[in-house]
Amino acid sequence: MNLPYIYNHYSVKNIMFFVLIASIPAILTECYFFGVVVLIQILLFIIFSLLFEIIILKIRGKNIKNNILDNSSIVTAVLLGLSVPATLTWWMIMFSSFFAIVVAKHLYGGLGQNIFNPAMVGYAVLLISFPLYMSACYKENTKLFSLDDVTISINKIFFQTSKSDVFIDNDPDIFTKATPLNDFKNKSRASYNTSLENISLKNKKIIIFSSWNYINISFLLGGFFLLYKKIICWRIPFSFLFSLFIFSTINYFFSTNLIVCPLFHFFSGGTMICAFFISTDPVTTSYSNIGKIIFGLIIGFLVYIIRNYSDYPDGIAFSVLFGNMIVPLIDDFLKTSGYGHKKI
Amino acid sequence: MYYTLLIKKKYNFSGGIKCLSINTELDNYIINYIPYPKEFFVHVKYNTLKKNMLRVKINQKVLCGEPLTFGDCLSVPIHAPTSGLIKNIEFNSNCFGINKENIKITIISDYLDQWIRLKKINNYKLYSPQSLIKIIYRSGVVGLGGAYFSSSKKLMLSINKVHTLVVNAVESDPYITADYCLMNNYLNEIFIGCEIISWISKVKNIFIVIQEDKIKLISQIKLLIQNKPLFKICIFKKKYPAGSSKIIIQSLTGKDIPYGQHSIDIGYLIFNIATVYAIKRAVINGEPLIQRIVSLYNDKNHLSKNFLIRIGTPINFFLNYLKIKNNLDYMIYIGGVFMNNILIDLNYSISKDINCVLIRKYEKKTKKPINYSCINCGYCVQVCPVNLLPQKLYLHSKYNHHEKAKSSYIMDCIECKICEKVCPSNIPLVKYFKREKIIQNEIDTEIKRKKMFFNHFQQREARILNQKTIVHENKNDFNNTNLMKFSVLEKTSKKEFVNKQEIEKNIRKEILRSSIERAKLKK
Repeated sequence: MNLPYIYNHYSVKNIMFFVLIASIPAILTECYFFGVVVLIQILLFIIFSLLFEIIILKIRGKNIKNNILDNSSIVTAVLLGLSVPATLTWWMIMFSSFFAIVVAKHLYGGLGQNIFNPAMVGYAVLLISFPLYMSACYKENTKLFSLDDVTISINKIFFQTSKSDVFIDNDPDIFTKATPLNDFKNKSRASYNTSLENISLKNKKIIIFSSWNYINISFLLGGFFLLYKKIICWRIPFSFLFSLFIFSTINYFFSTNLIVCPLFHFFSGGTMICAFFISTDPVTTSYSNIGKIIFGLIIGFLVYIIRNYSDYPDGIAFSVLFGNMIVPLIDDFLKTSGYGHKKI
Repeated sequence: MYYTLLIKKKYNFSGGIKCLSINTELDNYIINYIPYPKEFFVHVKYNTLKKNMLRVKINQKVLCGEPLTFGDCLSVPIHAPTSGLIKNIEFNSNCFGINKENIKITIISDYLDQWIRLKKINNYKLYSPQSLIKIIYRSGVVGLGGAYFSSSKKLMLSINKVHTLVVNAVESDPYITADYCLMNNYLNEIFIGCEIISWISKVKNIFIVIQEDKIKLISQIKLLIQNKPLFKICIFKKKYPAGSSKIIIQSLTGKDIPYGQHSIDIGYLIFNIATVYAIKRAVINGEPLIQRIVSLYNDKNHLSKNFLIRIGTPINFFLNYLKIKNNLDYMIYIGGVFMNNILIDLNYSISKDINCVLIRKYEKKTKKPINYSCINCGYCVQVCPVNLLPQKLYLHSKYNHHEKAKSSYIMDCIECKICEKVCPSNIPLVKYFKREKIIQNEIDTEIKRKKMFFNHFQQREARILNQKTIVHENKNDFNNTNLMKFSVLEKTSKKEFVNKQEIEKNIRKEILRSSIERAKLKK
């Protein structure tokens, strides 16, 4: 509907398209640090998810053209490709996109009916079934966009040849890691008894200058673009970051050596992609304003707990899924009263 | 722009939507006159109970301003728009709702326009409020904003109850300018009308409510107000659904009108500006209400004009005058850009509650807007002016959860159609709500009917039982105490009713047993 007298009118298609545009800087920075692998991986995710979408739409007997044109499956594919590390083989990609599209989205009744965030379901399935691949790290990329780089990445994804490259750990030359949080956790646990101070200081220095800073900053830029276009509400990301900040600062002042500082929490792992891209998915969040704030606070608290006290390095997928579980309960309790009735 | 800086406080409400202002200048809006048509169609609401409402016959001559019907406590009399001959009186269904039947009176005008004798009043303070209200009732004034509630009854209710009069000059729909046009031309008469109402219902202060973009009018009103302590001007922000009386009171005072009550119960009396003008004409000039200002919005060149039109002019004529000849190419709506209803019958005439006619060129849509499924985005929740949850209501009404829909207050929806315009998946939300409201009304009436019939059934059962037992017990000794028992049982509650049934069963069993024994003995 073209209405000349209303500001800011979007359709579903436009909303999804703007999310895709906002994720472009993050894709570019990831390409800069990891090579062409990332691009090929995202392309594979898109192809597989579209294929699964077409098959399941045909089974359900729905109009294929209209349902694909709303761009939602492409958005889930891109977010999945950005959040997983760049070492997966093609059958793993197929596996996770099957779970994201078919199980999480269409078995619940299609777009708008799903309870869980489809991208995070795909991520969680990979994290549970292949934990070794998901916490792998990758060597620094020296030959950017050369022919060598392309061949290596194709080999890696389709034939899984250079296995020895992937699993080097504890190497001083390693520049980038899947998540610096993982490294920090391993080392601090191992050397808990011996020498706390030196290792933790060293780690911090190495980690802060790592690539994940820049990737998180690029996600932040995309998030501000979405906020400027009024596609996402400011309540969820800010309440999420606020609660994560508050809890980690309280903990940091009690034990400065064991636990990383709150700024490090902000710019490592998937904090920013969660804040601006994943947790703001309109389908699986609460619709009322207070409900959105409560949802963000719960996710922030869970991320803090999982990162500091559990075995998983980055707890974003589980905390978002748990938050999605609670959303119907929040919506049921926060009923607004109509006009003129007694306010609850 | 200088005046906008001087305004300190602007009243606002939660929700709503900003609209783009009109590009053409507001000064251009003046009243246009059109000639009288040959035939007038006057529609009268028809109640099945009152069949002797009509005052005229076929082939009778009427003068301009002569009442055509007797009024009763609910409806006001309706007057003839011109002098002429009554050609026909027939039943005609309303063009919006098929179930509501109307009486349609056709008048052929003789182009002489002879009036009846008007009774003018120079000093209205010599009359008592009751007699003034009677005059207003006789001249047939109703709420001209679209409510069609008779204003004489409103005034009767408001005596000694209200403390402020709110004059509603807010036009929420962006392209309707009928009220602005009226204010521009008849500002002094509107002030006299306000004073008449304040004298009738003894209010202490008068608020004139207006939107911020009418800068020139605001400065004019401020000049006129200066020496009058009664009057006060309130300036609203330019937002869409601000015209409703509920929302005006919420943004003025910060309180809601309680459910099921009227604004008079809080102490506020709200009148539309056209109604105030009509009251002045009725009291001082003695004229009945036979004409009003209607604005016409043409979609093609984005221009709205205002016309002073006699009530009863068919829309067909109205379009011919504007040289819109091929009617098939145009879609004609009644109401503004947001709250419009499509018009099927072009012979339908302009009635008292129409304030805008919208004309759009019919285009065959090559691309149908795709209806996606609801993605729970919450745009409609943030926009809703009456604090409802439209997407939840949509789900309940789509899947027929009637009790849940009622518990989330579907009956409070004012059908402003904002949520529908904002929705990114193009869902026709208000259509679902209208259907659900009809179903809710049906359920309500059914429950009432069930209660009534159950009551009747209980009383009848009690009566029959009483008679039976008296007859039965007459065979034995006549006992006073038993009679007393049953008279108590007449005012039954449910438990006693069950008890009664058991007693009745026992009696029947005994009768059966005795008859069987008798039969055995005979054998």
